[in-house]
Amino acid sequence: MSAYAEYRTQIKDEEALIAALCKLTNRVGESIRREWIERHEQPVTLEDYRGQPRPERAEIRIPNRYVGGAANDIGFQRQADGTFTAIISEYDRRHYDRAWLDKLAVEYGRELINRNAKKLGYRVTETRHADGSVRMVLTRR
Amino acid sequence: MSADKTEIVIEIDPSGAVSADVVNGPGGSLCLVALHKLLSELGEQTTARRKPAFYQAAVAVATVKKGATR
Repeated sequence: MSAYAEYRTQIKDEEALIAALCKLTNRVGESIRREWIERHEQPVTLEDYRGQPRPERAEIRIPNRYVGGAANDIGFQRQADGTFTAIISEYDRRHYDRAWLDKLAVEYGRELINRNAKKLGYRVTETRHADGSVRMVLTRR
Repeated sequence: MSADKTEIVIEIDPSGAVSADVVNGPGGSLCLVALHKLLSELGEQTTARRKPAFYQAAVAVATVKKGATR
């Protein structure tokens, strides 16, 4: 028996979540592709590495064949308050760990800020730092 | 810097927490409105920091459930 972890997030915007996932890599170092990510109106059952159903369900699903190696599905389940919870198996947390989720949070922030800035007429200059932090300068006349 | 130019500096730390400041442009409530329009979808605003706007990290602690796979 193993454990699954559910990571509560502040992520609410599905499109920004998917765009952020596409900035990250899977366990074998491939960039996650938009076409790998399934979006469902209603939550679907996640599957383990053998294709067997798990009790967990999620609206956003990355099928195990794209997670890397003999992996389980990764899911993002929408909560009643509109936020998504990440569902990641213990086996897969060797790669999809807290640091990976933190990178997801950084990319999600970038996506939303860039989108809103464009809408509001700002020009954005970004600087990425070695520690993973990002500085964004927004200007508008 | 020009008085009619708005400049906002946003820092996203390695955990995804966001802080922002209007370094040039409208002050007071206008400054807060500008930041709110940009950042309100990011998460909950906290008053724990001195920055004009600080939003908590997008990923919180994990809860662990027993499962039937590896």
